[in-house]
Amino acid sequence: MTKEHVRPDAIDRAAGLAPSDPTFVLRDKRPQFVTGAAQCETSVLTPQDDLGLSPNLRAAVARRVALQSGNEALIAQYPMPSDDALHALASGQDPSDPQQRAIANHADMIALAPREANDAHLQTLKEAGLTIPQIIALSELLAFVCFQMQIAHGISLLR
Amino acid sequence: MTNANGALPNIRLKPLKWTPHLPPLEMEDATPAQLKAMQVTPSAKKVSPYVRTLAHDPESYEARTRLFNDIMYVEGGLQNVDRELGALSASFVNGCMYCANVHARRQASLAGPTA
Repeated sequence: MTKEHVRPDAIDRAAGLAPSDPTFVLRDKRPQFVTGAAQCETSVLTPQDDLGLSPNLRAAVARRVALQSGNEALIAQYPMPSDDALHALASGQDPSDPQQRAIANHADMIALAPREANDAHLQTLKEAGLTIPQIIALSELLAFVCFQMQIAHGISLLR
Repeated sequence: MTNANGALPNIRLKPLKWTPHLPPLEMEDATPAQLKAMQVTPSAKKVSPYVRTLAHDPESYEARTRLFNDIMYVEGGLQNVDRELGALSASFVNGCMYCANVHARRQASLAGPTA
């Protein structure tokens, strides 16, 4: 599964890098990191087997996490899903659907206070009906968006 | 505290045992896609409970592990010992004592005794 790396990519945009920027050129020195991030992105947002978590749901969760960064360029890469049922989840509000609410609470905790994560949080997701593969997939999705935010911030400091 | 030579005394950092809160995949239940994904492991180590837990989602497991291995081991740039220091800092930011323990031990082992 090789994915050609198209730049500027999500991290360039979130870090505010233009192709003329010396730091933009610097990222070409580590093409593995660019393609690796692109493959991680595909694997959490639009995997071949979505394990029952639809790409729309995944995009909504990613947008919710990105909102916590306050990084407008990153948020802009996760547009509002067209499905009204995902509006609250994607916009940082409290969803009325119980499973979405459990996912939303978990996403907020991982984004803001990951050190608080414990066994009980995973039990809550199970009780909301998520399977173990879905909980792992959700965890990787949350980890990826947090990674994007941190890397983009780190790169922006090099400019 | 330093000894007479001005060197730091050796500090032994005991490993922490990480036990997943979710049941790891059993090898006999693994699908062909999961078995293939688990051929890639972090730091080319054995198929650990950590690997088997993440392999419930083989696509994200393989992608994240390849990226991790590139970040930690790709040729050129920072020495491995300093990459481990970076990983240790990330563990503090994320608040994970298990990750911090692993990376602190690797950093110490690569750095060797301070002269």
